[in-house]
Amino acid sequence: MSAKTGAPSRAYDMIMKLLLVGDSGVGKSCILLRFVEDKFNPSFITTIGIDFKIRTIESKGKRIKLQVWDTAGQERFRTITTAYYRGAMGIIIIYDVTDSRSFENVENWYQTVTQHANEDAQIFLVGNKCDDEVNRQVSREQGQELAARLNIPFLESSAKTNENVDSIFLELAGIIQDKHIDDNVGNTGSGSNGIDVSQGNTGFKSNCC
Amino acid sequence: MPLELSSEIDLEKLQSEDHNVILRCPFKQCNTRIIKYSPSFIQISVDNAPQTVKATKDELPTIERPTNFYQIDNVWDFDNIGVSRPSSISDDPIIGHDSTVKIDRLLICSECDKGPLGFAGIPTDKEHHHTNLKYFLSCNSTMYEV
Repeated sequence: MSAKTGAPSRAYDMIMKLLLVGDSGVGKSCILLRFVEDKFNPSFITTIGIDFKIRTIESKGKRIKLQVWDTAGQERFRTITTAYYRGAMGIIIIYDVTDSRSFENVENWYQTVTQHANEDAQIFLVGNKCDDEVNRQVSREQGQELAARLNIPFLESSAKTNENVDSIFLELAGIIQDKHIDDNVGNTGSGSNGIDVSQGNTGFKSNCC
Repeated sequence: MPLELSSEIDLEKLQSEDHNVILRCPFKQCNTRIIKYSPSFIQISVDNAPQTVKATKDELPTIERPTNFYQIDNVWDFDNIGVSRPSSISDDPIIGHDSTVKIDRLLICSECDKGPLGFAGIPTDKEHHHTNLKYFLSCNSTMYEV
């Protein structure tokens, strides 16, 4: 997937590939697709599931296109390959706050991600299902402590109530954006990893929503 | 900005007058920007497409079997779109602008998750890899902001 410039509709400053990883059942797919069924959310869509979404956000005056990928159940077989991680600028490790085993596996995911992903990929920790206080097994403090130890940002979210779901993407994109600006200090080219397409932008400004 | 139906606008005329045309989600509570219209979109006619959402002016969208699509070859042209995993959506391949495409994915609004607004698939002579996907957005599935 290239980010060539020149087409009139390509009015964005940056593109970012983001990945969702974590144990099966932690709610990765729910973060990408609401499981609400009606005439226009037919069950066949929720059954098939979402492979990826393109979402355009505005962050710090820049228009950023995010491509967010789900792992499509591959995590069950531990077959997530290097190809999947290739080009990812952000990786969201998700655990389920009502399942301590998924939290214990976060470090395994962290090792896997650092082994396969680009060195400069930003990792982000998310404790999902935070609406379910009755069944909570992992405290917010435990999540914060682990994130601090791994030196990665952390949020709790609920795909069910939509709490913090957008914040995950906005915060992660903002961090990557800052990193990228830092990377480009003294570099007026198109960016060391080729994702800053602003050089070829026509200057067209538009709201993303 | 007023939102119009595809049947109510003359895209060629608007383009010649340098108007921006934004295609938006047809659901009123959403109206998320899906894509900016570009003359690079190839309009094709398909007689064996599966059902999609049809935008309406004053009521809830309906469902129809569409015949007119914009073929979009680059996913980054979209501002907001959800692409399903591959699945058996249609047995008959459709004839795209420049290739025969096996349709196996649905397109939905990435914000409200409603759809389908169109389909995507890989040309039958290409390797089964997402970079080879071609996207077919139903002309009647979106509202047009002029």
